[in-house]
Amino acid sequence: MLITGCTDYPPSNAPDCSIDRGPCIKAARDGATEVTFEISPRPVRSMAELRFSVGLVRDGWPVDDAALVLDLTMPGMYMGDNRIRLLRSGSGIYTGGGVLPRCPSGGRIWRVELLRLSTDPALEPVSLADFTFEVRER
Amino acid sequence: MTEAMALPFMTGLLGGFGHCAGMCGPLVSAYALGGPCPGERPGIKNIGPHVLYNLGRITTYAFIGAIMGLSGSFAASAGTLEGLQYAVSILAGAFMVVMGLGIVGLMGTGIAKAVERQSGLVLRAASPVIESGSVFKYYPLGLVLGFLPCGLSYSIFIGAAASGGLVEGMAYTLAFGLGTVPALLAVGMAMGYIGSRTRGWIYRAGGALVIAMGLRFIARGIASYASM
Repeated sequence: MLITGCTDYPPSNAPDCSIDRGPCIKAARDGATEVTFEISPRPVRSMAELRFSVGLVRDGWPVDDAALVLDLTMPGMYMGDNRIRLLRSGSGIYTGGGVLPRCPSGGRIWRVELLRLSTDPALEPVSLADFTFEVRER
Repeated sequence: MTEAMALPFMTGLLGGFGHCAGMCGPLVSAYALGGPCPGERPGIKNIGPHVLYNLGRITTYAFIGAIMGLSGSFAASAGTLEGLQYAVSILAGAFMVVMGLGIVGLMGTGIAKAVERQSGLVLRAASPVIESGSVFKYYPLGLVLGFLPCGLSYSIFIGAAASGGLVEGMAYTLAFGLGTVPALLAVGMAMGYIGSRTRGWIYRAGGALVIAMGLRFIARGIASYASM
């Protein structure tokens, strides 16, 4: 890490979501829920106020009772805790604001994990899906 | 410590060993390796420069945290800080190159003079601090280098911006800064020990590494300016 900083990624951390082209859609880990993930404004840039949006549809119906958090991490570089609490803003739609800090070593790949909180605080959040995407520098 | 302060403190503590030691360690190594006089026995009295450096760094974090907390917007405040941070990155790089050249025994040679010529303005600005014989020079050094652009501290500044006010923002980043102290103190003390005990190839290799990292800091600062 001393020399490479945050610019080397294992192949598993390659982007699977072209966030600048529009929403990314993926099946949740439960197999029954479809997750739509979007960031605006586009192109998505670091160090800027961003709006994160998640849509949940289960068996063709919007999911309106989820408590969701986005956990943002940079593969290969510890960037601290960056979690965004999402609030329901429409039928099956959850949104929240946040910032992706710039990595001075050049890293631009981010991974977002969508976590569903349980009503029982003693239970760990459940990971629904994750997306890996690249951002532009401001 | 309140729960709100525990998060940034733990981020600093864990990130200090996993992130800061790798990214800022070479910077600490630069003054730690170049600091002790040859033959001087390492000991607790040598902790002074490191404590003062960390105090300076934490003071800057607290200052930035206060601004973030007051403004309530990380993006708006960071935008005005970015130019200064990249200048500090170039300054830190020039400082590391000069210290590294001193460690490998090339100070006063043509290479050192060329570096001094190319980065004359920033080094002249920093020379009262770098060339001072006083141990208290490490406090202003920490103050300035606390502005270095760093992804981990950016994340903490985002938290400070959302903390709700000036005092809350300052406390948030202060807790983070305190958390990072053990790692950087450990790096500084270890490098000071190496610097005072070894004058052979290990010491010179450390100097070469400091030069390489200094050049990287300079390149990063210039590239960041270009992308603004």
